[in-house]
Amino acid sequence: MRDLKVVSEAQKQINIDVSEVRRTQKRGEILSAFSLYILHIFLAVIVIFPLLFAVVSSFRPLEEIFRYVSPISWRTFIPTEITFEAYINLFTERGFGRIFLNTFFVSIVTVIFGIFINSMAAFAFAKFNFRGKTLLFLLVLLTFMIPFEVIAIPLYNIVDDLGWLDTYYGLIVPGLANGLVIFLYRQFFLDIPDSLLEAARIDGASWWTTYWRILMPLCKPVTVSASLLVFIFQWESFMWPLIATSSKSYRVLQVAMGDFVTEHATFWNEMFAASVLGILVPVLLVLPLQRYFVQGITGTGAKE
Amino acid sequence: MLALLLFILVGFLIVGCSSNKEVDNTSSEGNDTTSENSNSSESTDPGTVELIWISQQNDERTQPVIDAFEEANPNIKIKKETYPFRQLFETIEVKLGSKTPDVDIIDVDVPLVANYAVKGYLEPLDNYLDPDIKSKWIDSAVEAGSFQGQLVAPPINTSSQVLYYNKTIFEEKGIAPPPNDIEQRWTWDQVVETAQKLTSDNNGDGQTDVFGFSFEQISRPYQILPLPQGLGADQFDEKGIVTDGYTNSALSVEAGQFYYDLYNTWNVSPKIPVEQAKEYFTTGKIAMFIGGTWNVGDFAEADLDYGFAPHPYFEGGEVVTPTGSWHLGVSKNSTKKEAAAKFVEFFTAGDGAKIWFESANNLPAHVDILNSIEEDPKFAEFPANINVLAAYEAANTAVPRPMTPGYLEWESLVNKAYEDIKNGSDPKDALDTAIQQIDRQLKKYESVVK
Amino acid sequence: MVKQKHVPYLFLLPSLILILVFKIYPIFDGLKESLFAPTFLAGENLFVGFDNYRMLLDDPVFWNSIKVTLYLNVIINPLQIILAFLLAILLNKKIKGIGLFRAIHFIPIAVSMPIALIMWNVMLNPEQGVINTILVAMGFEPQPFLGSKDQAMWVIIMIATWKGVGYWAIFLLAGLQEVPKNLYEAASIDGANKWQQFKNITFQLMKRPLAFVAVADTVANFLLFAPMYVLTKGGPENSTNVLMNESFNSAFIYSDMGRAMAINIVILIILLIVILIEFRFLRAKH
Repeated sequence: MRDLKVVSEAQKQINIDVSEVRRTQKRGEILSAFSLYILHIFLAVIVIFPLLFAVVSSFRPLEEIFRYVSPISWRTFIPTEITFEAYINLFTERGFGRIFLNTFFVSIVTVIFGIFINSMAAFAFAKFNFRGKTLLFLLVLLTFMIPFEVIAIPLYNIVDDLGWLDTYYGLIVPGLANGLVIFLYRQFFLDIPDSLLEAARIDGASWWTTYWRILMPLCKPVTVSASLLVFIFQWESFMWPLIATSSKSYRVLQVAMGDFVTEHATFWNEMFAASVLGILVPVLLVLPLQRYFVQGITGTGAKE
Repeated sequence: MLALLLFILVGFLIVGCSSNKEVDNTSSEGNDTTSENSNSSESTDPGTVELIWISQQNDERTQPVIDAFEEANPNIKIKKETYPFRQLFETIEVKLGSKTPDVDIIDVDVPLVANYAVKGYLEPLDNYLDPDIKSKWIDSAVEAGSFQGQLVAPPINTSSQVLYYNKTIFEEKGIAPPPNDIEQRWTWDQVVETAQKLTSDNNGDGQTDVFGFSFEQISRPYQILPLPQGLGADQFDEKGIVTDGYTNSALSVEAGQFYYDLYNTWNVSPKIPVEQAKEYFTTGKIAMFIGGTWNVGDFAEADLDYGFAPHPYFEGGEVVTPTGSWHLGVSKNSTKKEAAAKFVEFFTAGDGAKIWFESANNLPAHVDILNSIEEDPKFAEFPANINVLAAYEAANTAVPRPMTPGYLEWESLVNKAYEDIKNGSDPKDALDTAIQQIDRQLKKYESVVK
Repeated sequence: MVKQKHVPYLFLLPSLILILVFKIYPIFDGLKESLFAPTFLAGENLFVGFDNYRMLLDDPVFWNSIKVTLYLNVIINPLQIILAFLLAILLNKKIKGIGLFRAIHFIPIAVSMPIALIMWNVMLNPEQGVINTILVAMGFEPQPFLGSKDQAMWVIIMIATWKGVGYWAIFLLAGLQEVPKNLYEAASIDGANKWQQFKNITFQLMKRPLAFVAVADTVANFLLFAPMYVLTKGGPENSTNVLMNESFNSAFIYSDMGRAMAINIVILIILLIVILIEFRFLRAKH
């Protein structure tokens, strides 16, 4: 009898201890969650702050932009006079409609062809054995590390010889082969069991069908990630479009940013307005597709 | 292994073939004499010739000139490719450096004339233009547009600088501003003294709110050259490739010291990047501002109550004002040189020059137009009378930038030196470091300067 | 089947051609170019063999650039990788609203380099930039930032990190989410503390993604020169004059393509060495 009582006493004590631990744990959790939130908010502010200045300035008239920069006051961050002048000018005087269209067109075409060409190459690397495979793959990786500025002038000469200067071809084609995309796809393909492909082949599918109808649909996350990466790369591209195009009809966004700095004046408000729009587009694309983006990269490092 | 060897071989073969292209270019150079006939190498399209012009001039302003030219020359069309100012130079390097025939006419920033000539970008125009044409422009512009005796780039404009001031700030402090009178031109001492009185921290927060003085093109040689030049310091030897003993001479260092003092000793100038200088003046943060005559339009828009006076000078020294602007050149690799020369003549000396002046209002290098400014009632009132002051300076006190094939190198490194001085580096050290790099880079021009 | 032998090559062909034409050939052309020097005589260039390289070795500006480039990379690469890792761990915690925070860190990716530089430049103005305004309001002295030879490089590091950390963190986050949770549970049952768990589980399993991020980030940082070009032009006093900046100047300001290409080849060689070292350090063991 006494043993039972002892046991139940012990049991009660344990229960009390556990619930106390749980309570402190919970308190600890709340505390750590709280500090996490503080940390997150702090980081978010650091990230957003510079953009805030750009956004605010884009709604100011040109003469006001630097007036309230110092001394600090509420006026530094909130415009005293809100005007859409900058945004309107962008489209009426500077032809930004055309520029946006150009940049969009170039980016999307690069994505479409880029995905095709690079995933095809990745397919070859991942699922076949052939002579020179390792060498070629290394070559691909190496070229991915070549800085554009290093090859700018020779590249210009080649594109000139091909007659592609000041054309969409010149803007798009040199940027199509992309080592990073090949790498991403290859990692993903490696994870897909060969048996799946063999089954398709036995059923009489050609290699193309196997690639296009079986393998690629399984890779939607990678396609999303790769597409986003390529799109943003082309959207933000600056140096190459600068030297490869000259006429207004082919001008892309980042090059047009330079238009605001003329020899004698800088149109800050319009520059900020253009920047805001230039940031908005990739952000609007990337945010909703975030989850797929992360998924697409998952597995590209952890396995092999 | 075989694949690798084959690959490398192919690589070098391709590269080898392209080097033949370079040889071809040099052999064709010999044939390119002045006996070129307008019929021989024009475009394949019978009748119309299209000229490609690489420029940074504003499209709206050049359009009237282009229209007038095309009307007078119905079989020549001008296709203008416009670039932002900052990128124009790199673009010219890439395109003309690759010797493409796709460029006919380029804007030439006047100090680069020697550099472009030496790199073989510009076609000498003496054989295409009327020999009397040089008398149509002011001497400094002709000199600056020629290389080794040949005219390679006629001028479309020149430029001048004045001392602007913010009337409101002067009135608030009860100080008399500099007068717009050549006879009463202020010395730098007067400018500094006034600037010190006007520099203030109005709300006691430790940050200066009004600065007494600033240049428009901070640290840029175009703007600051009057400092050493006013003290009598040359920047180069006669050949234009040695700077040691010139750009860092005692007088040049003295000029550098003055610049240093503006920012670090007297603290009358704001250490801002060059792109923000004008905005600081228009928003009332700067009291006195040396800037180009082209600013009057923007100042009016900003609702600024301002006045202007002649460019200051060092007491006992020469009066020196910045000058020089854009010229036009014909590309050596163009296949339509005769037509291109026609356009250049029209723009710089013919009817185009007057149209350009009316359209863009930039200070002309054309002697007749310049002279007409003083008489023209259009320019009698403020602020248009700034052109009268500018015309005077351009004709009397303007000193062009140094003539050297290595201008870009020199300018870039002197700009860096002056930026360093502005940020607190010792002027002598900064200039000594600069000349070492400059002279090293300029060695390669030794063979071409006689 | 005979067809099979050629199939992989067919799939590879388009991208291989593109790489050959637009990446490989220009390198060979550049290599060739580095063996020439400009002479300005009738457009001909003089073959000088390795003279360009020899002249670089004699040039104190070149050695300064090497020093500056290595200084930059030794600091910025570990900094960004560690920060990205920490951020990834932070973003991995499942608190409410984490989706929003993850989204926010995505944003700098969408900001192109020229735009980011302009914005930061305005804010970091030594006289009246917003950052200095805030510092002064908090009682500090206004800082010269890009005007100081000691601070300029750090400012550039800060801007590049602001822009890049979110991007790399996403990659690492993906890797983190791959680590099986039960490994942690098993470890804590075995009595391992947080640090030991990190060292033996997290870090080991993250070696692959870390290697990827390390290499990619290193490459990006080695070539980093847009901030120098836009903000400092290599100054003050050449304290930010990285190799790529010197190469750019050689090409477009000094009109010396040979020297520019020679510098580029040097950059490529150093880069390869650094990458090899990184691979060795982060080689995964199963």
